[in-house]
Amino acid sequence: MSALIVAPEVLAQATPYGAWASVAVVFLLALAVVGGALFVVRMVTRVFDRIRSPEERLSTYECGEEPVGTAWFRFNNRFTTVALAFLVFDVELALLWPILPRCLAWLGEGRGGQVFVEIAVFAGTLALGLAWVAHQGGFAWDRAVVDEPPAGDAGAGNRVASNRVTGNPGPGNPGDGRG
Amino acid sequence: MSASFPTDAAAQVAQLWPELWLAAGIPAVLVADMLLPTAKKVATAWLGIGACLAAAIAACSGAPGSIEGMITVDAMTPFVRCLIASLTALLLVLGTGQRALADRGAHTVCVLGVALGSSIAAVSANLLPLWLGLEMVSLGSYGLAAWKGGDRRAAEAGMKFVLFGGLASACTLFGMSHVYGLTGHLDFVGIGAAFANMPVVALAALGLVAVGVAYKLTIVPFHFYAPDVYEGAPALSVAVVGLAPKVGALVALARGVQLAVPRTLAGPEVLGTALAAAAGASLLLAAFTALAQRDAKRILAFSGIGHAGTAVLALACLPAEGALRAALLQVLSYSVATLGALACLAVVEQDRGSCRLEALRGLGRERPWLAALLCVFLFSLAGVPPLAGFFGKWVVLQQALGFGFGGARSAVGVAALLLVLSTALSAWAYLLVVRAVVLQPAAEPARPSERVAMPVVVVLAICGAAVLAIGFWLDRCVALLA
Repeated sequence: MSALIVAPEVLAQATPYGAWASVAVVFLLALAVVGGALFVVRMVTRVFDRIRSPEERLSTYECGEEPVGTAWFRFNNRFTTVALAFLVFDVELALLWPILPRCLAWLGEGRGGQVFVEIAVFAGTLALGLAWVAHQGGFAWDRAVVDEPPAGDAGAGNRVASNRVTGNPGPGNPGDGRG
Repeated sequence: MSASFPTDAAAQVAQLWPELWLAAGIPAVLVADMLLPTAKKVATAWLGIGACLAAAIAACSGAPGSIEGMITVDAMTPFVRCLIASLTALLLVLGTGQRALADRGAHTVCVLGVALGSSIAAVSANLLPLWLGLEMVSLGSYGLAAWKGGDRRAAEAGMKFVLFGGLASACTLFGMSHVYGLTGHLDFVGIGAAFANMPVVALAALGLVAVGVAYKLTIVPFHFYAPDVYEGAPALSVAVVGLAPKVGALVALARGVQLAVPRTLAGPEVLGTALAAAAGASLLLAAFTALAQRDAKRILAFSGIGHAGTAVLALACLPAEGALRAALLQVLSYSVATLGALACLAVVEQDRGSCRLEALRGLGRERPWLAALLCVFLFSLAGVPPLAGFFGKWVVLQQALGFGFGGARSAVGVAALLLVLSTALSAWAYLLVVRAVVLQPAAEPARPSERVAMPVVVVLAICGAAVLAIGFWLDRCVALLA
């Protein structure tokens, strides 16, 4: 296998696209490994397959939980807040990575306190936001949703009335939460 | 730790005080929002107002300098930061006067975020802070546009804003990646130096970056979201979305044009022609389309497009002395008049639920003072002589006529003539509102109206005074900017 991996310098000398050739080699290698593994698994199951009911095998969970209906339906948008909060912290983790090489140098200079404060301010701001979302009821599982104005309510006169109703922060307002 | 903190770093941080105050206001408001009971949430707005005032004071005492080519504080910056912070403070004061405002804490955070983003965009000398500033403005604006929970128009406004804004952001980011790929620089000066030896086509990358800025400025052809957003969003949100971000974007555009576009590729003539074309298109489109509108907020949206065109026309004369000053004076006079007009419309919106011209009828009978002030602000926007708007247009016109005649510069001169034409045309649109307010009787008998809330009165008084004062002390205002 190791004969397949050519040093990039050698390839770069061979053609102007040499550096990219190594990418192609890695790609082919990945294909070969993954494809080979799948092939082997397929062969093994063909030989040793003793399961006789395909319905059982195709179900979402082969044991335990019985799925109810399909997963392809429109999710209630009250889960948006959870999704957004997850996204923020997902990205936050990615943004913490580049701090590391910089911080290692700073730690060497004995500026550990500064490193700690920088990261603490960054993470602390996000944690504060998380606390606020939780306080506003953003993670509450069962929340009231604003009443939609009835359908066909496009006329100006009707809209005035509905504005009056929904403009006030009533108990049905999602952001109002338990605040 | 303080020992390891280098002194030059401390000096650099000191240049960021206005932004730091605004940034500190956001977590403070969040904490206050969590701790305060519902009845006392108004205090979060006052906390935000405090942060804005602190930022405005810090802005006045800022010395010129720069931070690592990222942030530049120049002679104009104190005025710009001060304008952004004071506009935001006035907006928050206006918000305290609205009893029905939902989610006060979150509202204050969004308004502060827009101000912070505008301020960062205004001081940025690098694509990264510019991008950061523009995005910060966007995120706050999207939420504010759809603030009226359960209202379909507001939801539509927010959705359109998000979709068009996302497209503009994508264009900007795409352009920025091209600029970095071509030049290896993110700072404006480095980009300008690297572009100097490239073919003119390379400037297309900078053009893509300018899309995001033009979107915030509502320059033709990136204006089309503005009328729908202005119509659907509550008047208070319109004021947040439409004023401070424009100031920030205008200054960012001026700095980008001055630093990142090399003279060897596009001299003052070429650049002036391009900017004058955008300005002329905005002016004409705004003037003609405003005539067909039947909603006061839509008319203000087209007014915003036209005024942005006027400011860009001033930038078209850029290497000329005083071009940026004229643009800033124009933006100042536009901002105070528009803020005042929107404050009046917010009261009307609260009373009658709409800002359509039919809904404005009979306002002169019902609230004579409010109607009179609304008319003053509209006359200022139309450019009637003793008021601020006239002088805003006048300094730009003076600048453009001084710069734009003869040879390659004549595009600026043509755009200056378009400014005169569009001013005359758009006056008719403002008069449509004045007619509805003053001359036409209400469809239904006047209802006993509540008193206008005190904070709204204060904001109206400040805006009215400013609209008059800028006109009477124009020379002082120009000197203040110098």
